[in-house]
Amino acid sequence: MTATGTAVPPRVERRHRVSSLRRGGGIPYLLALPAVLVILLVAGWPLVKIITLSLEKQQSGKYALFHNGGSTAFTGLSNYADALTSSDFWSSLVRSVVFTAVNVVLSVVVGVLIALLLNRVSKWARLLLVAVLLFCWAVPSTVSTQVFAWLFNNQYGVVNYVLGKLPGLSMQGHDWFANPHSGLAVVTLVVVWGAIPLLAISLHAGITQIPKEVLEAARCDGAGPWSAFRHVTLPFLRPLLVILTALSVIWDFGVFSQIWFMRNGHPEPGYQTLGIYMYTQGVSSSHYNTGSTLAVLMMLCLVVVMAFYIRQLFKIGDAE
Amino acid sequence: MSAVLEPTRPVSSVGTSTTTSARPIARRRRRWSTGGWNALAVLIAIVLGFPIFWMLITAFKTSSDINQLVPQFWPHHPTWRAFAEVLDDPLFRDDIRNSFVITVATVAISLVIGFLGALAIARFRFVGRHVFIVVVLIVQMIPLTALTIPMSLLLDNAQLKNTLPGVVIAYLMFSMPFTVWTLRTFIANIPQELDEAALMDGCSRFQVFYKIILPLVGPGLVATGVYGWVLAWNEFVLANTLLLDNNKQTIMVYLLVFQSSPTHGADYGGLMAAATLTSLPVVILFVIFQSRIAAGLTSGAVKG
Repeated sequence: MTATGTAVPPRVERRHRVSSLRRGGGIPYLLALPAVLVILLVAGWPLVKIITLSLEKQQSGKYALFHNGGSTAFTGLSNYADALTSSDFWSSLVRSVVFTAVNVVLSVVVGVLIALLLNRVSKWARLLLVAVLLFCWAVPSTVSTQVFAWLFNNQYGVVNYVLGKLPGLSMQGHDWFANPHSGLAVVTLVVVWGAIPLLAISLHAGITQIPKEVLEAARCDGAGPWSAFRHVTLPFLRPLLVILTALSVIWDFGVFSQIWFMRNGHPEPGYQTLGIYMYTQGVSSSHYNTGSTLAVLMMLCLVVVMAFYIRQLFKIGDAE
Repeated sequence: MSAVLEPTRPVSSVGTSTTTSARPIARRRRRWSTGGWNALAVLIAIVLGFPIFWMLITAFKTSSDINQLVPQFWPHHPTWRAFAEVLDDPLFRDDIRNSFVITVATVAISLVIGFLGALAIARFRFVGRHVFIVVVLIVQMIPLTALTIPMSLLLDNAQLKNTLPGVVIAYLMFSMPFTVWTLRTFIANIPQELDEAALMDGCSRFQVFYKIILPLVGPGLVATGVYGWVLAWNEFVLANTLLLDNNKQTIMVYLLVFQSSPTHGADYGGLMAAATLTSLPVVILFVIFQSRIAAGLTSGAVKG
């Protein structure tokens, strides 16, 4: 909403702001200092550390790193060579990319459809749906994962029961998680279920910002619902849609707890997206150097999306 | 719907005076279609709300009613047993208290420091401002999983691993940039003219912050605080990595331990009761501040 809502005012204000000499000498630096120090400590240091760790190899025991520093030797890019030549890395990367693509497309499409629906219904129906959406948003992803695991339980799950009512389907005792593909499909449902509220509510707010006259004009010119959406609504929503899609890519690529909880903290290889693979290698099995290397590669995958997102924010003036 | 319908009428009556007889039909058709869309909205609300409904009724069912091949869509023998058992578990009480301590501390620290940082970028132009903004945006997007290893090293070096203050420090990594960025939007929406008028009237810079901006940004602080609360309360991977003792963990880790323990593994009533209790603080915050949440959700800068 701010995407479209505040894009205009700052531009008018800016000239005014600069002319009124809001430079303030050292004050802005003083104000920003605590936040800068915190970010340097909790994000800057770890980022530097993770890169140096990815260039080293532990010589002694597994836990040496945590006791007296251990002895580590600089090994250049050999960790990267190891990671990039391992088939596990590539299969988890492909899994992550497919998982992210499916989740982003589903959440954005369903989000847009629900936003359009919110715009068409009566007030009571809108309030009802928004209330339900807010409740869904409030539920932690760990909790929703457990609820979905229970819904899809092989013995007493209500999903198997309801699907079994359909003619020709026998679902009794069907284990959704025996096959990682169908298991990840259930995880996708959890992720999309959790992502829809934010997308639908903010896209609906974006739709209400579209001037009624423009839609009227389109209708007078004989535009049907589809072409009105295609040529009026969609162009108006574009900046917001681009930003939400970029954010969804970043979040869905980093999905962790949904998969972790669905597999009781022990995801089988077929469930390992890049983040899960990195965590099981680096944290669960204490291979800190391998883990750091994978983490750096994981972040590199996202750099393009991040750059795109930030550029977009500056372009629409939201970051000014 | 009616908001869309109302302005249509004058336009169409001016343009198509000859087709008066067609209009009631069109209007009736629109009303019918609104009814159809309403029904669809109700259906979607039911489907989306079903998991929450199922969590609640499972928590209130007796174990024998839960383990039925034909699921019961209503708790026929409602019981507090599952809730009582979870609330009786000393680990649950320790862990939920830890979650409260960590979340409150994270939100409070982030709001104070973040407010100052947000003031700097919303109200001043200075060299390095764009760098600061870009850094804030980037850090906000780093997947937490990726930083688990160096974060536990950092806390280990500071002798803070396996302690609550350590987790609070680690949580600042996502909470601080988020708070700065969200508060910036709220501060930027306060007209600059107010500051200028106060400066003219002889207020000092700090009086302007304290007497003009702080009161006006109050609702923004509340909304940002609620979102920050949700982020910190729901966080799992850092807590799972940084806290080792069972009684020092957060409620999210408790849920996983509960689910994987042999005694509780198949106890879906207990699990759903624990899950309900875990979601409750956030739901309560949402109900209290719901109008601001819905408005603030649309700022587009909120992590879900």
